[in-house]
Amino acid sequence: MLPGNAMADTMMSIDPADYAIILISSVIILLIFPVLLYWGWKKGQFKDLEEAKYRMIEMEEENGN
Amino acid sequence: MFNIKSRENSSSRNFLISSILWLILFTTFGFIVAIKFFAPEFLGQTSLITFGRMRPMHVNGVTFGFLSTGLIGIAYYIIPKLTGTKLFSEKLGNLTVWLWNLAIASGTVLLAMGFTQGREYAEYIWVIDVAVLITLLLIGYNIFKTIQNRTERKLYASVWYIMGTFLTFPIVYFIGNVMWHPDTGSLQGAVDGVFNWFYGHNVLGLWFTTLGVAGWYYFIPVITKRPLYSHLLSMIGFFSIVFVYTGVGGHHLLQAPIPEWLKTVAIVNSGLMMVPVLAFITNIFLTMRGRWICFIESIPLRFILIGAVFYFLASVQGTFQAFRDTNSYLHFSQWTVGHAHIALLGGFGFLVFGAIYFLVPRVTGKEIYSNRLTSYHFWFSTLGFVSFFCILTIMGLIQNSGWFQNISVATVLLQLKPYFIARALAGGMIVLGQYIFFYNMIMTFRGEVKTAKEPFFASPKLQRDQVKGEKYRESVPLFAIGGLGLFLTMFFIVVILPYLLMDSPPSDISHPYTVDQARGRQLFISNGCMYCHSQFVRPQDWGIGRISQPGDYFYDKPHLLGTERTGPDLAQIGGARPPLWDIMHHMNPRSVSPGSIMPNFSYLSDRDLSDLKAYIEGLGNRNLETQDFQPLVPELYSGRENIYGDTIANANSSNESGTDYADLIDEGKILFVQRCLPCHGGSGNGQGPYARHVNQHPANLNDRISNFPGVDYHFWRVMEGVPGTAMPPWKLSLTEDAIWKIISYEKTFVDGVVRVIPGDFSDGEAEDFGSKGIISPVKQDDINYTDGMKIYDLYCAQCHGIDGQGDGPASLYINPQPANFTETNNDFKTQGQWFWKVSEGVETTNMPPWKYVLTEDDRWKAIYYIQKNFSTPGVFNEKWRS
Repeated sequence: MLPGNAMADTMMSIDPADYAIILISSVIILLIFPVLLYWGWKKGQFKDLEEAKYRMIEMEEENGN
Repeated sequence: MFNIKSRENSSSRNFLISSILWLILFTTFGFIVAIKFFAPEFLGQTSLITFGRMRPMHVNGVTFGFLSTGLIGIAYYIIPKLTGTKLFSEKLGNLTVWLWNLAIASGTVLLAMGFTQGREYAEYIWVIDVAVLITLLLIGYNIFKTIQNRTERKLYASVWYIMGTFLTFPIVYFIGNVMWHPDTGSLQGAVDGVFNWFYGHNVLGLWFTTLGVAGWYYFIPVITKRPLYSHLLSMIGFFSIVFVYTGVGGHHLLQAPIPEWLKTVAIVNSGLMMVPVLAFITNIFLTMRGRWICFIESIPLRFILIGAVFYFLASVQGTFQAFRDTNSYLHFSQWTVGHAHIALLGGFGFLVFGAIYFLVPRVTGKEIYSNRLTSYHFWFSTLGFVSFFCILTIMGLIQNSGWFQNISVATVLLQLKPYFIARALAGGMIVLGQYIFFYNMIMTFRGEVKTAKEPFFASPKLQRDQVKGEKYRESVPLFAIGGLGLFLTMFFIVVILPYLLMDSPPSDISHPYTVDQARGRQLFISNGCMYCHSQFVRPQDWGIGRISQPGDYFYDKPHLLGTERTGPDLAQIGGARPPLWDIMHHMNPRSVSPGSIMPNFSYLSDRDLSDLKAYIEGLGNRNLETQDFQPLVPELYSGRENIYGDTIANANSSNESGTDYADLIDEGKILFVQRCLPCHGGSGNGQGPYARHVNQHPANLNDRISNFPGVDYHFWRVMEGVPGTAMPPWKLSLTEDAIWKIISYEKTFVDGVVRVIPGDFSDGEAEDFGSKGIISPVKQDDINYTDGMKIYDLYCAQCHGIDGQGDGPASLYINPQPANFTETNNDFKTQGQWFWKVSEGVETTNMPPWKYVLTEDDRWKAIYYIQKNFSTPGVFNEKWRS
């Protein structure tokens, strides 16, 4: 369906220096998330995740709605 | 109504009231727009209400005026309830009500006057963008300060979603509207499309979806009095939305000239969209377990749940149409309009309706005036919308079928007219439902307060103190860094990288605009022409021009790629019509294009019309080449050479290659006669018998092939067929070898045949056959004579001429020349000679072997007609009468 030679016109050539910057920044960004996950887990961020859904119902009842 | 007082929930209430008012105004606009599709001069022709201005007023009005206003009202209500405190500042909240409404009212008036940035969903000009952005930041500030003051340790899912909205959407708004370029709010070149659709889709993904899901996760548990099935699932949905949704915008440009990797990122993210969507709908339906009675009893819940289902369907549809193949078929039609409506009106609109019915008694203390009217509103909206959506979808498929076959817009529009009318009727039903809603609300607000409004928390300050030291430990840092981090990561990939890397030089058809053209372009934008006329040629649009390239848009700011083809694509229209035709077309479209539904632009001044003409004439560099209509040959076929090229080049009766050539032409001719002659005729002039039954007339091969850019083009067309015509893809039933033989034979309609086998050879064969004493079995009467005449006229006259003198229309290019029967008839001694020549054809000429086409009887009848009609008087009676 898609003529390849036409699509080739839309391809970009990436400069090696740009490529290195993109690669390094991508790795750094990707590393942030496991670190964040570990930090959150150590801090108890994932404890009792379901509590909030019960509290919101209780609060509604407390307020007579 | 809009008192800036510290009354609890007054901000929420005032946003909800504003939402209702905007709903009435802007759905009415939508109804008028729907009528203009089949009655383009409805309400007369003035610039203020022309289609191209009413459409953005309707779209921006319902998205920002009705939906966003309603959703902000919901957020202002939900946040205090779920954080166990009051809204940080009702005064600030009411200030934002004023600012928001002022921005929408001003934006609408400016759009009516033609002040637009011309980028879909981002039409508001810079001043309005600033007002919207400031308001968003103030609302966000109010909400975050409220959350900061909370008494609840844990943050419920709805709070996460609302926080996420106000963290990410101001960034989306600022970047998507290119607010650092106040003059145009756009970037130069094709990259502007990337920014536009990053914004356009994230208005849905990081504004409506996140606010809407917050609403659904709040109202459904509260109304059913049952906790959400899984809070964890809602968290998964939240993080996947901020990451995945951020990157889907490129799927609006899958056939546009943007980088292929960016399209792939968008497609992958569109597929992954099913993660948060399935998490959401699973959560909602499992929450409803055992509580479906509430769906029957509570009309607000009915609206809200139906909205959730529509949102789910819209999301599934969105993923489905974001893949390359489905998108290439479904783009540029009312299908997409249907999709936008099921998401915005069906999904979030129904949520807002239900929320208003649920919240108005709580924020005003007044009961809903009439449940019966509420029920009417529900049924008019639901039935009207389902009909509306189905009609748009069917219309879209009809259009897409037309585009796929390269059928012209003019033809397709005529087919759509009944659907345009049906769509307006269904739309009218929806609008009628909203008028009922409006009346119900007016009567509700006029009613008396029946329930006292109590502050939800008598001593929020005390409760804050009690939990001091614990509340910040949970949720917020994880949310803020994680959510924003995911958003920014995808933002970097789909916005920053293209911005840095997309750099295409001007293409061959790109050129700077003259002063007149630039002014014409601005008129094109201010009158909303781009809502109906796209400006990019996709690979499948072979009938429009060459495939658009990034460099084509080098001088464009903003981009005008477009999303819909209610009118023809204009990317390369320059030179395709006489310049003065354009002016007549703009002044009175139907005077030169009878089926057109384009608005009448006679309100433009002479100079405006002239400049608009200058812009349109310049699109695609005003192509005046007489034979410049060939699309690019796909890579699969590009550069292919005829495998029999050497045989043709070396054809010579004096060596062995002459035999090879004769065999090639013989085999090619038989294949041609069996497969191609029915449409293209024995002479290749496109006058075969089946040509009378197809819309797109078969090609005259002499004319067409002589204009082919190369033999690879010829091979591609025979292999793949020609969309929009009866020409089938022959690769399905023929080998490549057979197709090359056909091509070799068809080339003889241009180059002639090398007569490597002299006519004597054929004459000898005919004499041998004739000597067997073959006699015509056909009775020589008037009936068979008439039959023979018809067969001759249809099959033979194109070469031999109506009078049999070898001067038919194809004789101008058939080489060797067709026989002149008035001379050659006398040469044959027996009827068998005739029958042999007609049945077997003549070697290395274009005389076909008619035994592959006509029955014996038909051949004899044609011979009878030729003998009797074209012989020298007396010769026929003497030789052939039996």
